[in-house]
Amino acid sequence: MTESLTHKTLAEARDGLRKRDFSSYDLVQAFQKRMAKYQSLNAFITECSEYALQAAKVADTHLQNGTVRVLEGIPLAVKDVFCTKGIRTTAGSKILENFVPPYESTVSQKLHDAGAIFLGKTNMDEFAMGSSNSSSAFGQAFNPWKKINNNKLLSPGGSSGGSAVAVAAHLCLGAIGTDTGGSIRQPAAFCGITGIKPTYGRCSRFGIIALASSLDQAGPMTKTVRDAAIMLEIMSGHDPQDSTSVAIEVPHFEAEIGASIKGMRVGIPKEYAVEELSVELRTLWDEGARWLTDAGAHIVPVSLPSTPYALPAYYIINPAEASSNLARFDGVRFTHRAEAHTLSDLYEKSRAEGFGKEVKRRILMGTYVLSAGYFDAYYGKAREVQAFIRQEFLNAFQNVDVLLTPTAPIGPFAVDEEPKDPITMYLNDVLTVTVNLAGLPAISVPAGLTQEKTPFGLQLIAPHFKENRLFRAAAVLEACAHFPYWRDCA
Amino acid sequence: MSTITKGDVRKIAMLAQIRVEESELGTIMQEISSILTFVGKLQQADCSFAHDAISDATQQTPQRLDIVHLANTREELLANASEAAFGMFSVPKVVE
Repeated sequence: MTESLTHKTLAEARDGLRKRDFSSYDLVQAFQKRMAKYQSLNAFITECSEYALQAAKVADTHLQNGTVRVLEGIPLAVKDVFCTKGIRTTAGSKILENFVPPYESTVSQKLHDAGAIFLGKTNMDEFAMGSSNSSSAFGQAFNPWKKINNNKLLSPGGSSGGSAVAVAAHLCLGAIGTDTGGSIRQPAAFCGITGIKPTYGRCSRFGIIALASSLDQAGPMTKTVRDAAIMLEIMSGHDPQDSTSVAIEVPHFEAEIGASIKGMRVGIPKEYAVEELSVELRTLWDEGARWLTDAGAHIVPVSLPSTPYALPAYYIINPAEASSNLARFDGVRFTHRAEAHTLSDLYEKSRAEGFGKEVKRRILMGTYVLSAGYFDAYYGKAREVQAFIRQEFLNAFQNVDVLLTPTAPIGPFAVDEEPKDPITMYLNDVLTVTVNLAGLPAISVPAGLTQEKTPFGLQLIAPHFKENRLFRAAAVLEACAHFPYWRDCA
Repeated sequence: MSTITKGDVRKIAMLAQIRVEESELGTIMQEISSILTFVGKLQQADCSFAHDAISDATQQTPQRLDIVHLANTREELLANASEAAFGMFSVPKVVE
């Protein structure tokens, strides 16, 4: 019974709850049992056991008396970067290890108001800086998948690694993550699930602990494309508390699932065939293009010559904004405070003790590129390149409806084999950062397994606020891939 | 342009208010230098035809009603304080 509940998709569970095949309480209990069984995956930093059971009772009352909301009784997981009122929120950092927000992020509030239940806060790279989940102050989260004939533990990717693990290992029906340079899409690809980064401005950033404010976006991580559509529709919308959120109508995304893509023009950008991309992944990319062609789409070769400059631009803009955003964590008010005898000591020691290695590296790098004498050469140039990248995308979308690329240049790597130098680690983001720099929406869909039997994801990119095209095309890829979702060996 | 010195690391650590020990300076200097070399590729990018399209300003600045509302109480905000006294954040004495 337990597995038959936890292995459902969000849409199946929603329908089952409404038909009263099972209760929300049954669902929450089943997931909590499974979370205990798979504690070694370290998907969660904080579990909300009592709250979730109480919320399930409330949801069951709504289900019984007919006052059902869209996500009534659906258990979800929340990346620990979303402030949750009364529930500890750490951003994966020691400096916030005891922080309990007095307010709720808009996105989590919307899900809560739609009847969703939060099972816990998921593990993540510290302040969302990373592509492997290894920079979390609360330990590495582990990918439930393993390579064939190799028992090594794999990285789930990052920074939303815990959310990806929780969904892939059936520890929740869906999760929310954030994506600044690929942090939803790359872990989704590594763990064999769907993840969408919406258009910048589609979802409110209010209450999300900021990394790079001009690039951060929230998005759903789910087992299926339909589930992502259901969640995104609820998460989207203008919020007066985020001046960058856009007042634009939110379409009924779920209606796109199963719609025809006949005549859709799918661009294949040649610059995404990067050196790091293996021959095997190139073949799987070609296969994805064939699936779309078979469904009636037209493949159009596209050139985006600015692509090689995206990663360098990103690793200037991201640290620059991070160094500014993280200045607020100083040991004075609500963060870890070190023993100190002078004011400078208090700031410097609290930050040195509270931040991890990658966070310090980015703050120092950001401080350098923003400092007098270097600003124009680095930050100014990066902003020019950002405009250039965006312009190229806009030009490309004159001739195509969506773009198809791989999500990541490599598959999940063993945690003891992860790149030790920052540049090699940053290359994980080479196919995803362009989208954030241009503010575009993009989705990663599990498209198959490599010869080593690890998941591989394909990315679709659309023009601003055209997420509906992503859902439509992604559903076709999903239907063709017949992706074998992760199953327990036990 | 793409290499920095230990002195530069000391300076930016001071600007960023992060204590960096002398023993860490060498490693940080190397890491940041290698990142600067990597991002230095940008100088080759010809952006002459790109216009400033970062912000489309597609929408007017939304207006809201000028109504006072209570977002947080003092008690809620102080609940996360490292130390609080007399309804205020309390910090170590730093002036003799």
